Amino acid sequence: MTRFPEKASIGRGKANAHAHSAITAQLRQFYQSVQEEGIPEKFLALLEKLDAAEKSAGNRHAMKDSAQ
Amino acid sequence: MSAREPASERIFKREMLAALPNLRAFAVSLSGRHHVADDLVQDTIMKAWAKQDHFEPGTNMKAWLFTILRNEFYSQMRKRGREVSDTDGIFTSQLATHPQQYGALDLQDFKKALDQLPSDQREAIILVGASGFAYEEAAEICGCAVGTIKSRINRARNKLQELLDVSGEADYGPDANASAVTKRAFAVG
Repeated sequence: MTRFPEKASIGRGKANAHAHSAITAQLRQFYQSVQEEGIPEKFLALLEKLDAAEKSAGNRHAMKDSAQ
Repeated sequence: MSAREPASERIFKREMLAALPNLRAFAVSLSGRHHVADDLVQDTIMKAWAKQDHFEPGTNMKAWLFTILRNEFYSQMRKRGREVSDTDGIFTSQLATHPQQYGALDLQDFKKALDQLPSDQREAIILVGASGFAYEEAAEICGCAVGTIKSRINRARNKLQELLDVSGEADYGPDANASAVTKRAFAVG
């Protein structure tokens, strides 16, 4: 039926695109607000702990190596 | 000499740290709850750390972490069974700690609307619309076709548009509250 796009539907398409970009803008704003909360201290501590555990395991290997 | 490469381990840790704010924002957006999100991030850090030998340096650390977190989210959901979304109160109170923040009220509405989406649509629109992934990357993270991601995003947008009652014209005003007032005024007139 609508072989050619009607002017009205072009208009609607534009309005739709505007609405979509408004949705995306709100999504980004929301997402950004969470990102700006920063990294909770416990995650930094966890990474340090994992790192330290690995290093001490590595050092034990190194000591064994040098003892041989 | 040790086979370990301390330099690459440092890079791993640094890249992981750099991705954390984005990863956490994804977790919050996906799960709808800060405490669930933080548990997910914590589990992801531990899993990623344990699997760091599987990570190929130079490949996309962010996508790798997001994939781990997403899988963790769905496996926890399955374990718990379908959980009722009880997020509104919790999230509202968290947002309300910054009442001076411009648009905080709009964000609460947006958050509620986002929570009403099916999770497959929610993750698709978040990954592409906010986390900064290309369609192809999002498809890889979600383990589906690119076309599926696109159609999920379309459905998510339409649903959000419907829930938030966003019309194309109303969104270019200087202030969302002002335009809401204007809309009401027109509706009355």
